[in-house]
Amino acid sequence: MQAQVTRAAIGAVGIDIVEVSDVEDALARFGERYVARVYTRAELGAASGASQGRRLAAVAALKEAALKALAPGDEAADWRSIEVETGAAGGPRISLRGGLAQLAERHGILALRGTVGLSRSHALAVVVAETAA
Amino acid sequence: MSLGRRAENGARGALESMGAIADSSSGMVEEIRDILRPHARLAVDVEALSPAADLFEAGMTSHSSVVVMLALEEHFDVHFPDEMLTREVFRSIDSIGRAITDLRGRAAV
Repeated sequence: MQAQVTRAAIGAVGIDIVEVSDVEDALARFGERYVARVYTRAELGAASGASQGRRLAAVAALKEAALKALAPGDEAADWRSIEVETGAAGGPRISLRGGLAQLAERHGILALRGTVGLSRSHALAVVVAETAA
Repeated sequence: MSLGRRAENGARGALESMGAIADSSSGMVEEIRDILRPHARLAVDVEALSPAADLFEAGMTSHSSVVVMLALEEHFDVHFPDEMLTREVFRSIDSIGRAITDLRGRAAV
C-alpha cells in the first residue's frame, strides 16, 4: 500500500513580540473586559494559575503572528476568532473561526503552524501559513 | 446673525453630521492623547504626533491597540463593535476621533 502524502508549501510568515508586563497591566487595569475581547474560554482555562500573564502573553503573540500571516488588510479581525492551544504536542495548535477562517480558505491556506519563545519578560511568536504545494 | 455667518454655520453643521470636523476638535484630540499616553506604549512622545500621524508606525502594537480601545470605551462611554476592530480605525488620532463620533451618533439615534 502506498502512503498518501499531502504536499504543502510555506506561504506568508507572521512574527510578533508581546511584553509580559503589558498583558499583566491590561489584566490588572481592565480585568474581565480585557480577557473577554482577546481570549477564548479554552485559552483562559489553559492559562490559569500563577503565571497567567506569561501564558497569555504567549497566546497573544501567537494570535498576532497568525494575524500577520493571514494579512486581513482592513477586514475586521476579532482576536477570539483565533484560538491557540499552547500545550499541544508538537507545538502550538492554531485554529480559526468565522471571517478569519473564510479569509484563510480564500487565500488557500491549509493550516497555520506556530512556535513561541517565552522569557520572563517577553513572548516571541512566529507563525507560517501552509498552502498547497 | 449675518447671512454669511449663517451659511458658514450651516456648512459646519453639515460637515459635523458627517463626522468630518467633530473628530478633529482640539478637545477630543487632547482627550485621545491623554488615553494614548499611558496605554499605547508609543516609542515617541504623544505630544509630538500630529492628529494624522500613523500610531502603528509610532510604535503602537496590536495588543496595545486593544488596550487603547478598552480605555476609549471607558472614557467616552461607547462600545466598539467587532466590525470596527480594524487597523484603519486605530491608525491615527483623527481616525479614532471619527470612530468615536460615529459611535456616539449611533448611540444617540
